[in-house]
Amino acid sequence: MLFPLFSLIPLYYFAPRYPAISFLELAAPLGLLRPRLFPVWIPIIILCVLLQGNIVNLPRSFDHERLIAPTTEYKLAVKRQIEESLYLPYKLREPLAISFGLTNLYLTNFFSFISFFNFYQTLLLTNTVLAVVGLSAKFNKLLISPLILALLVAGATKLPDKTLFLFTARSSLLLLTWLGISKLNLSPRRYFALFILGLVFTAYAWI
Amino acid sequence: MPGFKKFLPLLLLFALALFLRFYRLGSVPVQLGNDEISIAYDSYSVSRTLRDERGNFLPIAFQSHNTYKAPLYAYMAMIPIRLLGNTTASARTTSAVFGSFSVLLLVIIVHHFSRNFQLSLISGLVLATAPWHLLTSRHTLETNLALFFTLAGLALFLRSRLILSGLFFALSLYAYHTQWGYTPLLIFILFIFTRKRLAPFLAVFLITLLPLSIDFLKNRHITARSSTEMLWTTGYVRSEFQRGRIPALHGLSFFTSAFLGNYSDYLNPGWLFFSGFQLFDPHDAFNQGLLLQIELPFLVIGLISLRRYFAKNFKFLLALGAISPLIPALTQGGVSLYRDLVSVVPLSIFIAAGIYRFKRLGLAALTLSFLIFAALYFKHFPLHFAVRFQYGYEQIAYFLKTVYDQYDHLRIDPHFGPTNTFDGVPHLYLAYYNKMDPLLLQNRRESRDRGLEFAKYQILAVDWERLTPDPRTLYVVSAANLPPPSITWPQPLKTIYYPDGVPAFAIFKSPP
Repeated sequence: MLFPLFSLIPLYYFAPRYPAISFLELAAPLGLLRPRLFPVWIPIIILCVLLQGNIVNLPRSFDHERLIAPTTEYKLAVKRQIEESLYLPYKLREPLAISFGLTNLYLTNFFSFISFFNFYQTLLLTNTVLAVVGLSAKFNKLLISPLILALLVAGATKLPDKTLFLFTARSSLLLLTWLGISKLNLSPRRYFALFILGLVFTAYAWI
Repeated sequence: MPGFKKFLPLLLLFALALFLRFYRLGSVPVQLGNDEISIAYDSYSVSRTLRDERGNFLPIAFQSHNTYKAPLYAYMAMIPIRLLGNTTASARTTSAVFGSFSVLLLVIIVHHFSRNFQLSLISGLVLATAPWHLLTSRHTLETNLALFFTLAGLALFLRSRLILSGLFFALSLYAYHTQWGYTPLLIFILFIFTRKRLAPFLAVFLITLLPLSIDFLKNRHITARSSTEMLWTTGYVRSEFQRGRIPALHGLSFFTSAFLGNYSDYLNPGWLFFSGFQLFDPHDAFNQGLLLQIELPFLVIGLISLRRYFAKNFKFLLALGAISPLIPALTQGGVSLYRDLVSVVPLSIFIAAGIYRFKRLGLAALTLSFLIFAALYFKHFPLHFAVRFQYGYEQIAYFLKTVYDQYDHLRIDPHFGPTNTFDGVPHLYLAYYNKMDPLLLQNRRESRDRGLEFAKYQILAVDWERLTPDPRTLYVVSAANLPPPSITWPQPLKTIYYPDGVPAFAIFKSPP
C-alpha cells in the first residue's frame, strides 16, 4: 500500500547509467540469502558502484582522475610537508606524510559525503529518519553491505554525486526504511502523513 | 593542603589552556587579519579619544568595514592594548585570557551536571585542545569572548546566581551577533528544564540589554546584521518566493530546504573533524578539522553513553547540542566556524563522555592527535597562510615610520596577493602599529580620485603606466604590481617577503 509513495523519492525514480545496474543491484541482495554466494556478490556491487560513479566506463576504461589521489595537488602537498617537517627524522618524513595525507584526504571525503543533507535530498526527510531508526533494528547486517560499499567507494572519489553513489544502495536503504517503519510501528496512515510533511523540504522542485 | 591536592589537576589544566593560547600569540597566526586589525584599531582609537576609526562617539556597533561589529571586544581590549602597547599579541590577549577562563567554566558546568570531577576535567581538556577553540582564542575576534559570557551566564544560572547570570547572558549579546538568537534560545531551554523563577533574572537581562535594543531600533536599517546576513535576505532565496506555480509555498519549501541544508552542513562530520579548519589551501590533504580527528569515535561513544554519566541532564545536553547550530544555519555565506563556535561546548561534553569511558586509551589518543595538530598549526600553518592575514603591512608600517621624515608623500596601493586582486586595509595597520594620533584617521579625506588620505599617506591603487613621478614620494605596491620594464624611474628601496620567502610587497621611491 505504501510502495507507490516510493515513486516520489528521488533515489527511486532515478534512471541508472547502464540499465543492467538495476538488475545486478537488485539481484545482489537476493544473493545474501545464500551466504555462500557472498564472494561473488561483493565484486558485483563494487562494479555497479564504479560504473554508476563514472569511475569505470564500459567496455574497459578506468578513470583515475575521478579518484582523490594521486593528484598533482596531493603530490605537491606531500612534497611541501616532507620539506618542512624538519622536526622529524629524515627517513620517517616521506612515509608519514604519505600515509597521514592519504588517510586524512580519504576520511575528509568519506565523512563529508555522509551528510544528513545528501541522504534527505535523495531519500526525503521522513525516510532518512526512518532509515536511521532502522539501523538500530535487529537484522542481518550483511544486508547493508551495498550501502557500506557505496559509501567506501564514494569516499575515494572526487566530489562524489549523492544520487549516483547511493543508487546502488537502494535496496539497503529501502530495507532500512522498512525496518524503521516496523520499529516505530507506524501505521500506513501515519507514514503517509509524515511522508507528506517531509516533502515540504523538497516540494519546491514540483510546485 | 588536601584542597590544593584536589584542585591541582584543575590548576594544571588551566596552565595548559593558558600556555596553548599564549605560546607565540604574536606570530601564530602570522599577523592581525582584516577584522582583527579593525577591532584592534577601534579599541586603540576609543581608548585615546572615546571615538572609533570613523569618529563615532562610544559606539554600540562599531562601523568597521561597514560590518557593524559587536562592541564588547573593542572595549575590553583597551586594557591590554594600553598596558602592553600596540602589538599583535596585545590585541589578541583579551581573547586568549577569556578563552582560557572558558575552559574552567566548562569544568564547573560539567561538574554541576555529572557530579564527576574526572569527567569534568576531561571536558575541559577536550575544550582546551580543540583546534576550534584554540583558533578563536588566538584571534582578535568577538565570538570567543561571547562564548565566555555565555558559559559564565550558564554556570551562574546553574548555581542559582540568577542576577549575575542575567547580566552575563546579556553581555554575551554585546559580544557577538550569534548570541542575539542563541542566548534567548538557551535561556528558554534552561527555563523548560529547570523551571526556576526567572523574574529577577529576566529583569536584569532586559535592563542590561536596553542600550543595545535602543541602538538597534534607532539604526536597524543601517547597522543591523539581521538585514544583511540572514538567509531570508539573500537574493537567491528571495527570488524563489516569486517563482513556481504557488510562489509562497515554493519559496517556503526552498527556504526550509536551504535551512536544513545549512543545519546539516554544520553537523557534517567531515567539516567538524577533517576539513573545517583550513590551515592550507582548500582541499589540501593536510587540512584539519575543528575538533581532533581521533575524537570522532569518542563522540559516537559519548552520545551512546551520555545517559550513563548525565542521568538527570542528558536531555538538556542533547537539546543544547541541537540548538547550537540553529542560528548559524539561519545565516548565509556557507558554514562559518566563528558563527557556530557555541557548538564546541556540547560537542566537547559528548566527546569527553566517550573518552571517560576508555580513560587511558582515550587520553593517549587525544594526546597523539593533538601533537600532530600542534605541529601542523605552529610549524606549517604560519608559513602558508600569511597572504590571508594581509602579511607585510605590519612590516611596512614599521619601515615607513623610520623613513617618514624623508618624504613628503607616501602612497600605498591597497591591493595585494599573488595576483594583486585582494583589497587590504593598510591605513589601519599603519595607524595601529605606529600609534598614530587617532584624530588623523577620524579627519581623513576620502574621494574616488584621490583615495583615502591622512597625514602624508595616500591609500590609492598604483597604475605605473599612468603615474608621473612626484618628488620626495614613496610608493608601496604588492610584488604582483611591480613597474613594467618600460618604466625605469622608480628606484627600489625595500622588498617585504612572506614567511615562505616569496616576495609580498615592494617599496620604491621617486628619483631625487
